[in-house]
Parts: sequence; C-alpha cells; structure tokens
Amino acid sequence: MSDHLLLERTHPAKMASQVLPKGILKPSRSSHTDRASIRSPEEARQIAVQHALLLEQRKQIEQQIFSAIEALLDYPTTPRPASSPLPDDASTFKTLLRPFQPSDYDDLIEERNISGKCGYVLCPLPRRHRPGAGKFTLVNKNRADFGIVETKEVEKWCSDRCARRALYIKVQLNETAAWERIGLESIKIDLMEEEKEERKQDGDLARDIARLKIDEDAKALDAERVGENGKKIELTIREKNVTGVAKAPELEGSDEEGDGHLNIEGYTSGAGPKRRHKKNKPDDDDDDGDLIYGSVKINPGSFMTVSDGSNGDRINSSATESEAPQPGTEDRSKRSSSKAEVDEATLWRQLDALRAEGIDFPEPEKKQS
Amino acid sequence: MDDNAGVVGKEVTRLWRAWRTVHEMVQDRGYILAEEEVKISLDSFRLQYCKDNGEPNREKMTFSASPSEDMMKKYAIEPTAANPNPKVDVGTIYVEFVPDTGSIGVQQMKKFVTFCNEHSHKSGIMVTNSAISAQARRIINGARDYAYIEVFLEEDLLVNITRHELVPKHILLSREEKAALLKRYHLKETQLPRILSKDPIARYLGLKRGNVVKIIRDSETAGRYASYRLCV
Repeated sequence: MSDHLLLERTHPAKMASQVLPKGILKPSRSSHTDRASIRSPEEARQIAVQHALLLEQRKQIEQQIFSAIEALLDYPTTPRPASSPLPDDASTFKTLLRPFQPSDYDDLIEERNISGKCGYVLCPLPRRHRPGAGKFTLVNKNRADFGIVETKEVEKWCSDRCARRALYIKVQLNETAAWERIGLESIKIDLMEEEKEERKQDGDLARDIARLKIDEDAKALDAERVGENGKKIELTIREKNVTGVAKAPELEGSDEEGDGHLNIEGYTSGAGPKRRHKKNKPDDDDDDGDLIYGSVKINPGSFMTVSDGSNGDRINSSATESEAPQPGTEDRSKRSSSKAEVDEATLWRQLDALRAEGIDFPEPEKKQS
Repeated sequence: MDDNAGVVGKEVTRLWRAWRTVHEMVQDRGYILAEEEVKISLDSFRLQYCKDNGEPNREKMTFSASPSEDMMKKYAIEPTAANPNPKVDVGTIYVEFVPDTGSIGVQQMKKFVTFCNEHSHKSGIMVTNSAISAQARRIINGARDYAYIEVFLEEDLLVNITRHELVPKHILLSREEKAALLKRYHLKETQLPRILSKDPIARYLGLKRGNVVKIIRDSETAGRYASYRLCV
C-alpha cells in the first residue's frame, strides 16, 4: 500500500530519469541461464560427476567388448566340431557375448575372418574360399532359394551350417548399447544345437511364453522410470472401466443418399451435386447431364464440350456460340425456356462480360448422375 | 608366364610410386632424408626391393627418419611455470609397407604399435593394400598417447597430391606462430575456418587437432593471399 502511494507522489520526470532506457535488443533467452544460475556449485558438481561416471562406465564397457573380441579370436581352445563344442568354450562364449551389440558381433566376425578363421566362434575350421576372382557368386544352384550374393559374404564361414549357427546368435543380441541397458536383465544366449535339444524336451508354447518375459520387461521399464533427482515416479496402471455395449463405428455424416464420402469433417463441398439437391426445386430430377455453375444450372447444348455428337445442329449452334453467344438460336431457347431457372442468354452475356474483363473461369462441372 | 611378369611389373611400378610419395611426405613434414633416398629411380628400386624373381619384397620396404632441427623448433612447446621442461611430441618416424593382401586386423595392428613403442618411434606410418578393420582403428585411437599411428592405402599414394597444380601450398604453423596469428586478428581458435583431420592434405601433413595451417593461394588480383585453417 505504502509503495503505491509513494509511486503516485513521485514526479513523472523524476520517474523517467530512474527508469533505464529500453534496449532494442531482444532479451536474452532467460530460461536457460536462469536455471543454470540457480544451481549451486555443489549441485553443478554433482551433475558433472554423474555425467563423468556415465562416460566412464561406457568406456569400461567398450573396453570390455574389445577385450572379449580379442579373446574370442582364438576360440575354440580345443578343436572340436562346431556342432558339439567344449562346454567350457560354449559357456565362456555366451558370457563374453552378453554386452555385445549386433554391430560388435559383426566386428568379431570380421576380425576372425582376417585371421583366416570361420566366422562362427566355436568352429575350428578355416573359412572357405570360392574359386575364381568374381565379386559375386551363385548360391543354392538348381534350387528354389537360388540367389546371387557377394563372394565375401559367402567366404565368411566354413559352411552354410556355420553361417546359420553364427547368425542364430546374432539375432539374439540386444540392439541397445550395453551402457544404456539400465535395469534390463542380461540376456541369455542359446546356441543353435542347444535350442533344438531343449525344444525336444518341453513344449514350444511354454518356452515361447517364457521368452516373452513380460514381468521382467515391466520391471525394467519401472527401473528406467527415474526422475532427474533420483526419485522414483509412482505409476499405477488400471484398466479402463467400460459401460455400455460396444457399437460398430459408422461413417460420420452418412445419409440416405450415400453421399457420406463427400463429407469432410462435417462439411460437404459446395460446388458438388450435393448442395444443389438440397437447394434447388425438386422437379429437376432428370438425368440429362445438367451443368452446375456455382449455384446456377445450365442445360446441355450450350457447351460444345458437353454435346455427344449425336445431335448435329446442337454442335453447330454451340460452335458459333463459343465465339460469340447468339441467344436467339431456336433449339437452345426452346430448351432453356422450359427448364433453366435463369435465362441462359443473360447468363452467357454475363460470362462474356466477365471474360472480357480478364476474369478466368474454372471449367464448369458436369453433373454426376 | 609373360602375362604374369607384366602384372608383377605393374605392381612393382605402383609400389615404387607409393614409396617415393611416402618419402616425399616424410621429407615435407620436416624429417631428414637424403635426396637420393627420396628420388630413387625405378631401376635402383627394383634392385634394392625386389626378390630375384622380380616380385616386390615388402618386408624389406621399411625405413625410419628423425626430425630435423627446424621441425623440432616448429613443434616445440613453450615452457611454462607449471611445466618448465615440456616434452616435444615429435620423434623418429617409422614407415612400413604391410606385405599381406587382406585387410588389417587387431593382431597385426597391435604388433605394429608394440614395434613402434619398443623402438621408441613417436609416429608410425602403415602403408596397406586394403582398409583396416573397425577394431584395429580403435587400437590406433587407444595408442594416441604414446604413438601416433597413421594408415595409408597404397593406391592413395600413387601420386603426390601436394604436387598437383590445383592444390595450394599448406604450411603448418608452430605454436608460437599460431598464438601470434590469433593475437593479431583478435580471434579465438574456433573462429578460424576449419580443415578436417581426415582431409587428404591434413593426412599428408599429419595434422593433429588444434594445428593451424597457412594456405597460400594464387590470386588474380592480389598475386597471392594467405588464409588459415584450424584442424579439427
């Protein structure tokens, strides 16, 4: 209150001298700087440390993947056929592979190929070499799944069987980068042969459902849902209560004439036949190809474009008309006197006057029957 | 047989050209090399680096060079209060032509890095037939602190790009010169135009992040003009 009084009493000139001149520059985007300045040094430091830790973690995981690739280069430790690897080898392979992304796995295959080995880690054989220097090669000759593929793709493996085994592993890898898998259960990787044995033991459906891991996914999602300050956001999911009987959806604005498809968000476009049906008198229900021009109706015979060519004199009359309208032509005047609501001659004069002024007309629409 | 000889002869010629370009490159960077080493003729190259059957012997194609006084000066770091005796980050350079035809993997790259490290070469140049793998590249980045490894493809070295008439002269500035430039024009580093470190010329000169090159171009109106670019 006292402030208010004080303001009133001060002289306007004095007031003006106190107020700083307004700059023409835009005010700085305050929202960002404000928030930054509000943060205390401790808070800022905490945030910096948090980000540094994340980067550090990422670096560590990348290093881990790198050393895993190096270790897996020399696998298998004892040469056994790829279909029945040493259990130790298989289990280490599966554990080392956990942080991998599919791209890392590709790198591993590439590295193994460079040292001349089959791309599948548990295979002791050297990779195969196709004879010839062709860039592309034929696979599955004389079979339905015949194809032409790049030679280097085929030369990655010792056999098709191994290619299958290696790619079987690849599709199980997680696309998410390892350092972003917060709360995700580490994946379980199966070798192709193992999978088959297990499938024999229990039902396919049960296994597939187990693979879905709905509960775990929900938990992982829950763990991810952490606010900025580390607080968990409470979220409960309820099913929506539905009362009443479900109804089949219907097209908006559909009516008995079946013109519902012309309706755009409750609006029917003006120049179409729809409006005319509603506005005009009901006696004009013939299907003689009337033309609608705005809200004005013109009968055929006036336009050369409409005439079907069966009526010779109609063509003639319209041909002369397109140059200069001759309202007195008998054939047309008969028709117009009986049907048109506006005298056609007047209309034509108007049209020509407008054309002379240089106003362009859209082509008149033909009535759709 | 005759056809095979032709193929081998072509390969030797290619290698000879790459060999010469590498030498010119090393010399242009400021290392000491004898003139006859750089301007080796095809015949003497054949004599020295080919086997008896005429095939090139890539194992033999290695050399090292030490930096000249001028180069040491150029790379010198001014002593500060915190760091009174700064280490100069240039040393001998080692160049190797990789004999294998396949791409370079982790193991080979590791071997190269350890070799450079053991012989205390500050930088190493690997001339290869085909590209290196992604993981091998990772090793190069990891070794940045103690050895500066560069990889060139043989086919990229067939001609010396800096000798082309459309390529202007690029001169690396020393730290002192860079500071003077920034002071004179009241610039921050980031306000300079940029040149990528993967740019062919930047690769030729072995530019590192933060280096500034002076580019001297011919100008119709001014005779010559200089511009400066920061390597990023």
